[in-house]
Order: sequence, then C-alpha cells, then structure tokens
Amino acid sequence: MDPQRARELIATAWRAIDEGDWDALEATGHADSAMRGGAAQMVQGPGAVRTYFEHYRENYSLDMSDYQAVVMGNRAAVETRLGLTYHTTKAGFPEARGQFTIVPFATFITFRDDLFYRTTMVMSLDDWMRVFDAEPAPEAKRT
Amino acid sequence: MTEEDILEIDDIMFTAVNHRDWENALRYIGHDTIIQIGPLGELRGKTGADAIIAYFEKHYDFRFLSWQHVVEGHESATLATARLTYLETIHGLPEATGQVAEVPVAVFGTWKDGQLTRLRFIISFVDFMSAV
Repeated sequence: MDPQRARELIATAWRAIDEGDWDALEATGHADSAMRGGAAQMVQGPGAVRTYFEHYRENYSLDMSDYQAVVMGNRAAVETRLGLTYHTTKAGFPEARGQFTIVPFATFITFRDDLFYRTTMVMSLDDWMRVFDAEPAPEAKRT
Repeated sequence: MTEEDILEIDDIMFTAVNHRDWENALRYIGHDTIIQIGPLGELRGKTGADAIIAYFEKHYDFRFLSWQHVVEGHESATLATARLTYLETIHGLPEATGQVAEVPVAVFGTWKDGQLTRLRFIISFVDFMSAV
C-alpha cells in the first residue's frame, strides 16, 4: 500500500473516532475487516467497529489527535496518546466529573484494498482506570 | 542504520529476552534511553532496564511466543504475544497461584546513532486480568 495513502486512511479513521463521525469511520473498513481489542475480544465488519467506538463515546470523549504512525508495506503500527475524558457516568463506575487522563495505546493494522483489514489494539487497563481518580481538564471536551 | 538493520536487531533482542541473555537484550539501551512501561512508569537507561527485569522476574515467568515488527525510518513497532506465569502476588491484584496468561504486548522504539533513545511498552492487562 502506498505509504501516503496509508497515512491518510489512518488520519481519516482517527479523526472520525475523535469527532464521532461514524459514517467516515465505517468507510475506512474493508467489508471483511476484523478488529481485536484484546486476546478474547474480536469485532467483525466495519459496522461492528463503528458500534464498538460509539459505545465508548457514550461515557468518554476520545481525543485521538496525538499519534504517530509507522508504515511498512501493507502493515502499519500507530502509537496514540489518547486524551480520555470521562463525561457521563457509566453504571457501576464512579461519578463522571469530566475527569481527564492520557492513555497510551497501540494499534497494529494490516491493509487490504486500501482499507483497514485486520486491526489489533493493545491498551493497558491500568492506564484506562486512572481516569476515574483523575482531575477534570479545564479544556475537557464534552460531547 | 537501515530499516533492515533495525528489523534484525529487534529479532535479536526478543530472542535474547527469551534466553535471559541480558547482554544482547540490552546492548542497544544507552544511558539516556527513556523506557516507558505501564506498571513502572518512566525509567531511564540500563539501570531502568535492570529494574524492569527485576520486577518482572520477581512476579512472573515470562516468554515471548511470537512477534512481528513494523519499521519505518528510525521508528520501530512490535506486536508480540507474551506468556506470563503469575508467580508472586502483586499488591492490589489477585493472589498468584501460577496462573498463565497469553498477553498482547506492544513495543515502540526510536533509534538514533545505532541506539534506542526511547522504548514504550504497552501490555494488555485486560487479558492478564481475565486470566487471573
């Protein structure tokens, strides 16, 4: 895959997650795509990927603007410093007050037909859970 | 240092970790290499690397089962699967009884003048917690 095309595709998907533009996100996925969120969590098809991120944004804002992509052939890796804001209380979890933290996460991608085909995300639960004890960010996004 | 060199060195480093060959595993860690790793925060240089090894050897037996690298310019990224055997209880986590978990691990590296200037490890503790 052309490296520039790969970077543009990643930028489109990351911006779509950031802005909650689910149609744009869905358009980046191959019809037979699959995304692994952990060893035991697999979602299949661009519609399921859309639902996966839509679900998270019910309780959190996901600022995906700080990332670095490494592209090699039809594969890429993305290191993202996710700006995570907890804006709406999730059942069974602490009260949401706009708490904010940075969560590093990794994404490994295989492309097919210039689209996302196989995606694996790696994230530390410890890093994510820190958001509940964090302070609100003054500029926290609320969507 | 070419991308091919980095791919080869990355393979050597992961193999060396599995053989507890710390001399080769740490050969490309300099005094100022920044090492970021979830449970331990940010450490620096060989001293930091030694602390990470000591922490993991105290609590786990570990071995990389597979790995695949992506390299572009001076940046490298590796998606690995590690088999962790939980041997000694970590405060705040369930009791260690030898539970075994196969855990995705991401490693990002930045290279300059033949050495790593930065390493970030991201370990999927979702998978670890599911197993323990």
